[in-house]
Amino acid sequence: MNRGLTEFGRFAEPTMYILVSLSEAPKHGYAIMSDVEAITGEPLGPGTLYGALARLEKRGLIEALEPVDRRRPYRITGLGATTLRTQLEGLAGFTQLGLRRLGRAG
Amino acid sequence: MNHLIRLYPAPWRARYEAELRALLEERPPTGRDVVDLLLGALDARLHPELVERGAANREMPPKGRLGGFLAIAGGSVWLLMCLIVATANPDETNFVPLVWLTLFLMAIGLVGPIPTARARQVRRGVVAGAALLGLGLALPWELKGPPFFALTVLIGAGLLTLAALRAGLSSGRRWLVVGAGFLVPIAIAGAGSMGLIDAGPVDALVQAIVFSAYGIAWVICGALMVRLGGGRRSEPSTPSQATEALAA
Repeated sequence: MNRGLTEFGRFAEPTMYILVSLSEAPKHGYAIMSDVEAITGEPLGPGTLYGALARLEKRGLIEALEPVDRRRPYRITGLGATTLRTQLEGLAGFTQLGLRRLGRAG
Repeated sequence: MNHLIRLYPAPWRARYEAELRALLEERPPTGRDVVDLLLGALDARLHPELVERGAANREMPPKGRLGGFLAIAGGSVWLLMCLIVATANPDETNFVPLVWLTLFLMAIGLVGPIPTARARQVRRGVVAGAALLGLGLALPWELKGPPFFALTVLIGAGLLTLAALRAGLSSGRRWLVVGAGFLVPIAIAGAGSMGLIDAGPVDALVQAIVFSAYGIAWVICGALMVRLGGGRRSEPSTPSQATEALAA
């Protein structure tokens, strides 16, 4: 059963941000951190970043490319894109449900 | 910053250290980042399997099956040696070459499944352990005496086991740690019975049982390595497969 990114526990949120960041283009660690910070407004720590990257890489959701001057870019895989899409669609459904209920209550 | 990065396990550093350093040079760490790195190091130590099958390790495929077969061979030669010692006159039978062959097979069996880069880290321990064991077994009895014999076997087996533990821990191969873990009491009991108990009819039986158990333990350990080593070759292609592999 595909349990999506929730399998990553406390890394579920950072892994989703990283996948969103990489869905635009391949990026190396620093570029991912900057992009995630721009998306969420919260800095992503280096320990969390590499914990999340290791998990994503292990599950085959991202892949490492050849390093350029010690900086190794990462690319989202087809499986990663599918998993992210499923996750985001699930969140969108949840968001709509929440907003509908809020609307009724209001 | 060096101290912080060194808190991560060696396989993790082999895979990510260069890019993490590059990142920290571009973005000097804040106090919050330092805490985050500490937690990251703890996480990396708690989950060594994360790096094990990462992209950087693809050039270092696991060789669990080969190590397992060697451990089985080492255990079998050891059992053969036990049989020869039990049935022949030890004073007239030169079983030292068999001892060396056993030690060689067992040492390679211990470090064989570990990728080359990590095997280097434990090579000194394996060489020193095997040399001590060999010395203790090869020296004539009148030269070494029971205490020296027991000491060399104990320290030699201890060094080999420590090397296996270290390699197993750093590579995340828990099964290797488990394998080495049950060799420790047997090796200690074997050394104790060999050197510290006087030979008598009952003690000879104890010795035979302990010696045989040691060989059998190696064969079991080898069989586990063959079974588990063979199952680690394929990369998961879906999250559910990865989850199943992790659960296993």
